[in-house]
Amino acid sequence: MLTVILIMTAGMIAGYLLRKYKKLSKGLDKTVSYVIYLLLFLLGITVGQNETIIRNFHLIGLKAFLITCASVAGSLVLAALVFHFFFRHDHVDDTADKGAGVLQGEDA
Amino acid sequence: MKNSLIILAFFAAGVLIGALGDAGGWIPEALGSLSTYVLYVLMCLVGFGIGGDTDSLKVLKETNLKIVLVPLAVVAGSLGGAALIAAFIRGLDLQEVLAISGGFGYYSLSSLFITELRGELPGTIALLANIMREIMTLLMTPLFLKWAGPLGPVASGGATSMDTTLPIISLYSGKQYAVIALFNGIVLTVLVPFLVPFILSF
Repeated sequence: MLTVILIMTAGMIAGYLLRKYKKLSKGLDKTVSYVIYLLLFLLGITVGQNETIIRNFHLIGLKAFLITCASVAGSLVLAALVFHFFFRHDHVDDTADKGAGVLQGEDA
Repeated sequence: MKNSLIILAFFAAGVLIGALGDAGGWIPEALGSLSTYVLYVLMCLVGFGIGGDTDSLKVLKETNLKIVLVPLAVVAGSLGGAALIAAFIRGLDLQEVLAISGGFGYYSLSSLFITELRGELPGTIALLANIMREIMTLLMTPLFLKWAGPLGPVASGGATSMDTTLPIISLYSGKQYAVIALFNGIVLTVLVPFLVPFILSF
């Protein structure tokens, strides 16, 4: 796994050095998506060959769902705390549907 | 959402071909090592993108320090929540559950890392769990806003809060949270390729 991190760091340095060439970064996002499609296709093939996974796919989905719910719930709790203690005071409500009453007198 | 559906389609096509080809015996052995090399190419490209992205550096300079608390809350909250339920997930050890949770919605990269290090079973669960995180954020942002305030949808989006879930976050939490969402997504996206192998290295 160290190889991967070294390769990524090399990519980062190259990206930083070549950051002036906008054309390179424009094509990059598309290329990354295609490589990801290819990799997940390959991962799919290995999964398809694995009978244990195929037979237990409903269980796998349930486990994934449980982990997601727990992660999101934990994040929400801490996000609520961080908002309450650190962000509440400079919160300005600018969402469109809340309408009038949020305009600050001095600015309006 | 569209992107994750395309990814799911490619994955499903692979599963189908794998299952059929395995029965027919025409899948070449070399396929497994091929994906390792393709992963190297991908990591180099991802690094290149991060290094060349001057906007992400600008976001860092323009905001004040407490914004760092948002990705911190996501890391601690996700891993903490996952740790609490890890005992109930049969067939996965604590490290694997934490690594899956530590994808923060960055499904492509985290699932590939976990596959590489722990095999296809936890890798597949990571793919599904992290895609679910994105879809859940897209569908439930109004509720998350009600429950946890404007940072709720940002936290729930995790690494996806910089791109796929950014529009809906900005719509519901407000435009001032778009910068925070962007920052949060960038930090988590950069963190995933380091954090996931780190969790699995013990």
